[in-house]
Amino acid sequence: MVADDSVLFRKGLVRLIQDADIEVMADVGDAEALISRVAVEQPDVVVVDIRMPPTHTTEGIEAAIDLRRRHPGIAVLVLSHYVETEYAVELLEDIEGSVGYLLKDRVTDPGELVDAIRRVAAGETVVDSEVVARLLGRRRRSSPLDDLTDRERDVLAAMAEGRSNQGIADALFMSPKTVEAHTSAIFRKLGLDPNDDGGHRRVLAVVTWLRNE
Amino acid sequence: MGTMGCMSIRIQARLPPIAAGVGVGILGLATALAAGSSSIPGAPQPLVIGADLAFGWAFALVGVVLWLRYPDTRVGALSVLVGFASFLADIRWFGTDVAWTVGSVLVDAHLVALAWVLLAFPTGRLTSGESVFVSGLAVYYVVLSVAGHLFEDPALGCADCPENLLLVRADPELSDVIWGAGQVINLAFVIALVWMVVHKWRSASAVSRRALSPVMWSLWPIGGAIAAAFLEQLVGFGASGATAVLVAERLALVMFPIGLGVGLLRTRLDQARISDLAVRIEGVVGSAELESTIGEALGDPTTKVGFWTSDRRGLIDRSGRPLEVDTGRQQVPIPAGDGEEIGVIVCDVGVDEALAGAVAATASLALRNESLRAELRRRLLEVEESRGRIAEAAVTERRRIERDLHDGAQQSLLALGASLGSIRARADARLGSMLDDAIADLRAIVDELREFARGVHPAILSERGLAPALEALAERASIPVAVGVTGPRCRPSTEAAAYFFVAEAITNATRHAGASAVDVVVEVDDGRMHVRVSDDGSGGADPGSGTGIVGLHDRLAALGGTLTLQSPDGGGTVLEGVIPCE
Repeated sequence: MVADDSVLFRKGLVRLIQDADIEVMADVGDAEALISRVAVEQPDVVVVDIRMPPTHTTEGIEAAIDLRRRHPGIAVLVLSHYVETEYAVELLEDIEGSVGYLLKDRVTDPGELVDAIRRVAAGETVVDSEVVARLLGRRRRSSPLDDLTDRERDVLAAMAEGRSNQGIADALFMSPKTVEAHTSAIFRKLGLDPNDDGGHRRVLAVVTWLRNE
Repeated sequence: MGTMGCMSIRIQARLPPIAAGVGVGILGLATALAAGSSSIPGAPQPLVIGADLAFGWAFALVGVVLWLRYPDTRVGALSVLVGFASFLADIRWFGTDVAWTVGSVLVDAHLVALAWVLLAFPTGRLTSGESVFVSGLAVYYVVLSVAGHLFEDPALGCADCPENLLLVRADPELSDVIWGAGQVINLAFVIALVWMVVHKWRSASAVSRRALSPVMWSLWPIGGAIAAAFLEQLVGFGASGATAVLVAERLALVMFPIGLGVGLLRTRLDQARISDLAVRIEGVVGSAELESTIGEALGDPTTKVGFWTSDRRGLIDRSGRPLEVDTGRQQVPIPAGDGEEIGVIVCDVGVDEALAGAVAATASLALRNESLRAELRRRLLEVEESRGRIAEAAVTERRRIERDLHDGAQQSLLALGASLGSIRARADARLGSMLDDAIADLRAIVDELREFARGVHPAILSERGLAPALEALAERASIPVAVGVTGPRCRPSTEAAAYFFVAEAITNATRHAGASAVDVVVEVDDGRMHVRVSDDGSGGADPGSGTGIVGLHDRLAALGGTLTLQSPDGGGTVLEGVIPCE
């Protein structure tokens, strides 16, 4: 199900998703319609624009959180104009798993968008690579990040984007064993809790660490 | 020598009143003793003697005090004269023929003196009409009194009783005619006197009225006592009743010198306050003490001074802000000298109107300067307020433009991007690579547009506040930026100003100062937001050169804020902005 107040954009988005053989059960223009239609249709995934009526600020985030409270089984993917990490973190802090924060620009690359939809549907946590790049790109006076090797930094970025070890292995063309070695090295170097070694908690831990460092 | 001269002058100035007072006192005592020991029939009883003595001495005493304190008014000397005249009647009891004759003629002379004081108060001077009246009264009194005694034989009937030396022949019928005519003329004089006193009261300035009112109040018991005496003569109260009326009359008359004293003291106290104010006011013009100084002169610490705005629409205080005047407060106009009003003194209704008027007049020159300043401040406030409103409106407008860019152009471009993406999925290899180029261009445009919108107004600032907005700035910066934000949120224009202040400062630090790190600290304290941006760069920033710092300064000043710059050569730069939170 798709929610976006711009009809033009919404229709384009619907077509993209349908092209990938995903059924779009409904498309709506505001949060209220979204909530009521979701209750009827019970979709697997909801794709929602961050800015919607009435204030055109961050209704999408509030709608996603509200939706998940009512229907814990439905995955939500928030499409945003904002590359600022603040919003992504808010979303991740309030919704655990099956959640994604993707820049709207991704609609120009249907593969990436559809991949994100499938991943959140599968229970993964997705964070836009550009948002992660910002987190990693922030200049720091001296940071444990300086101790990471280039490869470890790539793995860290992939972790922050929400990829599982298998997903990282696929994306970076590594063996799962190597990924595991890298992740444990990263966890050790950054002083993260080794128990957060997979899934949503790992994403949140990594993203929060990157923001607050 | 100087001191000696001064002292001798003082002694000389003090001698006449004291001598006169002592003389009257002794005369009073002597007449009282004579009256008490006199065997002449008709001599007064001890109670009446006592009342006479109290009356004469009270006048003499108050007169001496007033004479010493305020030698420039004749009120003191005139009061002593009343005391002196009141004892003249009692010299009759010395028993000699001369004493008897003089005393008998001058038995009511003190009433003439009383009329004189009443009309001369509080300045001690008479108008020409009043002078005619007083001299006429004195001449008439002496003529009538002498004429009456020409034909009145006291015929006291004792061996060593004194004789009336003026007696030409004893003619009771003629003397009755004379005294009867005298009663009628007396009444005319009394009516004329009352009329003159009423006129004097009505035409008196408010300040003189303030001096006159205690005297006027003292006339009420006197009038009552006189009415009682008149009634006693008509119907007769018996011997003890007559004595009681006599005593009451004398005691009521004692109220009069007390009224004189209180009245004069009141004016003098007011005059002292006003001259004190006149000396002090120049020193406090332009300071917050102006109101309290005027309040002290009025004896009302809650006194406020309001100035008319140049358009006369309302009152403002000295800081230029509108002055709210509570109903039930007294408003005393401050005269400008040209018939106009500068403003009003707002004080308690209990403050004497005349005193307040005199204070307003005394302070008016100083207050005129102050009113010009208040008007300037009001206009400055107006300009500042409108500048603040313009700044606020600019922020609102920029937010609107940012939203329009997001929800309009950007949204449409992204819809186009979605279409292109959809076409791309169906395209063959050649078309696909062309579409890739087009999509890359489109994304670049969208990025540019997003940057532009952020430059107009960062959405995160209005949606999430200054701390996340500054964090976002730090994330984008090319050098490490540490951000520490504490305190409550402020109005949008203040937050926007702080945001752009920090953005500009970070740009300066990286671009011009070659800094390797920047610290940003934002605190809200006492209703003001303090924004401090420090870097470790080369320093030496010149506030005068380039538009950067001038622009920052203007941006803050528009909101009533200030900017300070510390940038020693080689010592880094600290920029601190202080902006009112609301």
